[in-house]
Amino acid sequence: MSTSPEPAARAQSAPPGEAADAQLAARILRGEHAAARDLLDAHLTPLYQFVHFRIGRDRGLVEDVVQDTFLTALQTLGAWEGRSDLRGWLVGIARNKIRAARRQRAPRALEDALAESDAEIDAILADVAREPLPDQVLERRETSELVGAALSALPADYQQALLAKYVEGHSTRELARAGGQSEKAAESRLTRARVAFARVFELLARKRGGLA
Amino acid sequence: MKPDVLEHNVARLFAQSWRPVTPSARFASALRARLEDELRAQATRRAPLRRAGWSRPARVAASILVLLAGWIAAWFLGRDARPAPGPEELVGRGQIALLERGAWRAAAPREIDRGLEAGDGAAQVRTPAGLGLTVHAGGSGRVVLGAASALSLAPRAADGGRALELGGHEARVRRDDAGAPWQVAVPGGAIALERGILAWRAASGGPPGAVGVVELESGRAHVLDEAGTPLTPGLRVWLAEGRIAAASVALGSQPARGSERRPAPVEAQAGASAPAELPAPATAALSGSLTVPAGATAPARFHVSLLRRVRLPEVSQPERREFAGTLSFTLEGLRPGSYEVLVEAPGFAVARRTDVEILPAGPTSIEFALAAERVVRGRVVDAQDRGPLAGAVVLVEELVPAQVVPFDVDAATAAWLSCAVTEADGSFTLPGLGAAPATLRVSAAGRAARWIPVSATPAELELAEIELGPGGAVQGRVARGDGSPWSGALVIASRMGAGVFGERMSFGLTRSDAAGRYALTDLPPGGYVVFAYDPAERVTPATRDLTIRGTEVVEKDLGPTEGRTRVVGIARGPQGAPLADLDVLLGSDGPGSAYGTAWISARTDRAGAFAFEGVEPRRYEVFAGRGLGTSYARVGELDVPLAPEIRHDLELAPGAVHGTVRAIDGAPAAEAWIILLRVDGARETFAGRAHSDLAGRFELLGLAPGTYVITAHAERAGVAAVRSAPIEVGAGPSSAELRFVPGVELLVRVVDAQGAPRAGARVRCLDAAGLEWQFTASALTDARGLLHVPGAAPGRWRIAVEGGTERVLDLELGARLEVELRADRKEPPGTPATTDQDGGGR
Repeated sequence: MSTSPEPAARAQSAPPGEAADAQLAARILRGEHAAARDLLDAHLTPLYQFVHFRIGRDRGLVEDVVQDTFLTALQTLGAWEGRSDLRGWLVGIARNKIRAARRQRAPRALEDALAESDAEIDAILADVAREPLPDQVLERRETSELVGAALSALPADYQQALLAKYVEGHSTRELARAGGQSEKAAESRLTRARVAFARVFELLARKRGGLA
Repeated sequence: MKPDVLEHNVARLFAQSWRPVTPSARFASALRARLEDELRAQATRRAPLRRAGWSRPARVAASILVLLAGWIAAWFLGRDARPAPGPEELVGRGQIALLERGAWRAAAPREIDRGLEAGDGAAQVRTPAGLGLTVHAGGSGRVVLGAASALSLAPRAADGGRALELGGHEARVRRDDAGAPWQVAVPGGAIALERGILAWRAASGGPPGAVGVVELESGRAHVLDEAGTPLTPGLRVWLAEGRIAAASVALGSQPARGSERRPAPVEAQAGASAPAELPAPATAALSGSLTVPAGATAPARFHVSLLRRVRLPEVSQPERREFAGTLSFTLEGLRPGSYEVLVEAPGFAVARRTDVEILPAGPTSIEFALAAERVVRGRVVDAQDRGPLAGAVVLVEELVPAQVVPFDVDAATAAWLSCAVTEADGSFTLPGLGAAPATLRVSAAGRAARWIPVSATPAELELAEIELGPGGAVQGRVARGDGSPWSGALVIASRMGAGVFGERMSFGLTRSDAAGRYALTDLPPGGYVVFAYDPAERVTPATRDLTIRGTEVVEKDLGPTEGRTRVVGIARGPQGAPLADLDVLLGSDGPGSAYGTAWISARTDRAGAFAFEGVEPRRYEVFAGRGLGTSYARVGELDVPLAPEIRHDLELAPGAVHGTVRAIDGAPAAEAWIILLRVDGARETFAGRAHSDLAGRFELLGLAPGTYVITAHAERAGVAAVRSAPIEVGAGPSSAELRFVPGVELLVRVVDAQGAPRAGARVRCLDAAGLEWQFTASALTDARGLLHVPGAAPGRWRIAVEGGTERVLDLELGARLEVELRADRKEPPGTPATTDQDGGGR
């Protein structure tokens, strides 16, 4: 029998981010219906993106995996002890669901598998931190998928920093103000986010292109 | 790690490659409801125990006992605690009701999106207001059921027949296979559908007793009345008491050629008496904006065209919209997929983006930076009398918003920016070109089209006079599967090109007459794929390959004839799995040619099965690949005897060649032609063909073990074709790397004894080692007696025409060389040529 404190009790001594997760978990375990909505508001889109970029464009299968993940999370939430944040825990469940889904898939024809493996493009992408990327590579679908896959693998704050800077177009000063940080701290976090993104991006490119 | 490079790349990746993916609102809503149900169920199980204040282990044990008791009670009582909902209750909640194993249930979100697969079994469906459903009947067809409608589908009978009953507001039935007719019952009567598409719609205002209209959109059907009254496509009929009570012509009811008409979006009309529209497939949107160079005036209006990437033999139907008074645009209701997007703005170069992914999960955004246009001027004249040709059409192949362009294109109707019509004096002014090299296609009635390359500079270009002369023709008879004449068939001759595989496909089109005869004229020399097509039937790309030389008329029958054989089989991969959507090609031996002189092709279905109708008994080489001829490799040979039908299964060998071809400067060479030759001692035979992609990559699959050689052709002037070292192919992939080198452009002119151009003469090019090279798809001279060699490597070459003279040339890099050879008459192969030794050519 577990001796860990109830989630609400854990929240009293946890940092703010973890406190929100702990409070949400407690509400779910108490059976609050609104907690389901809040769970989805916080975690559906990032989890959906995570699954999408690992399963491919079979939307039905993506939805099935996402639904199974959330249902499993609700059913086993009592076992969540707060060692990782809720998002990380959900991603862990999703990984297992994705593996199971892949095992059930029929083997693809050799031609299909080979057609999706563009080693030359991936070799170019694997050098994202060293060489400027050609324009025609940026327009490729494979590149778009890799960006999504790499982004979805990053911690939430790194994702938010990159999207705020490069998609929404906020300046570093605006990011600092929004995050309650100094401009130097915001710049530092953005740098770490870029480096992390590049590492994941390169790793995925090498893996997909058979270079790893 | 270079910080500046990293930041620059990250910024560009997010600006140009990042595509947000979000779950649909429908899925989010359904998931939320599901999670709330789960929480409710969990709370119900926990509540009694929590109120009693039991400890956790006791609660677990009690839960198990309670659940067991519940199951036992349910088993004894023979019913669930809560009765299953009926169809009325489900429909009342706004859900689609499906009958499954004797019980009604709500359709799952996935079934709503992708349709219900009934296969050969039965199905009963009821739809609520505002929501429809597609029911797939395996490979036999499907029923698109509209909102507030009902379908009862019986299992498939042994003879292929089926019974359907439609009710409610609207439905559309499509029958794809052959067999006994489907009996479709609608209020007021019943229809026997043999094949095609039948639509039913409830309507008022008809004759007494009639509550709706039936329309045969395509195919064949008849009313199940005493007379078995046939239905005419395009005619709407009111049925009452099992007979046609009234009829009217449906204007604009013909489906688009080559595609099923897309259903209109559904509208929620709770309680409305008017019939609702059919449910829409998943759609997407594209939004974008234009920018102009500094100092330039923004265009008052512009056109945005979309070409969805499809696989042959399907062709893309362009979507073109005009926008005025703005520099931004939005297009909605698009089918998700990969697109080519073009923007035509007067005064600017046509802007083009390829591989634009338009996804259903949110609008895709795109930006176009308009650039200054280039203008090309010229004059088109008749090749024989050099008189001006008015009304000739000059277009830029890469920039017209159409995948397929007929030879007799109506430029006025098309109204494309990069398309001009010659004036009375034969002159034209063609705007809209960009900085990149381009290809002009020049065509005129009664003459064969020509392709003219245009270089990248200057800003305004004056071309030399363009001569158009007579072309060739193909004619023959079209027959159905049973050998009967097929009148009214669309016959298409699609040009596969005698040079660069063009950006667009040019084609000629005609219809067969009552006797099934057809004729396509004014065809420029080159290779063609000819096939017959009926919009009412499923397209089966059984094609015929032929070559037009000069002004010759080729006889080519389409369809089975007496003395022919049906060839069927299944294509499988190295692991034994069937290969779907694979093109199987049969090529007959051509004397001394790298390409077979006759090709026929068939595509495998989902089970990997293919069928050739009416194959002439002879020996064939068998090739397999994808893209209807853009990539294929030799997989075997077949001797076809005279028989009603033979079976020949294919098993692709595991061998493969993957490679890369690079340009002279080392950059990837896109769209280069790769020719695979199999080496057997001193003999080299054609074994396959491929096309390099944007990264210069190519692959050839299904190769039997052996020794091969690859040649690569850029088909650009001044770039020499190159050849690989021998490649040993075994049971796995082999690789090849090629790089182009500078070459010498040659123009070989063949004349007869009187000095007149000799069309259709076969030109042979042999290098210093005695190896024969074929630089373009055809080694035959065109109507003007010319053969263009884009690039031969520097060195000694022997250029010969069969049955005629030859020249020995020492090629050095420089301007284009013109060589004249003489061929008086067509000699049998092996006739020795006369040789002129020439150290430098002319």
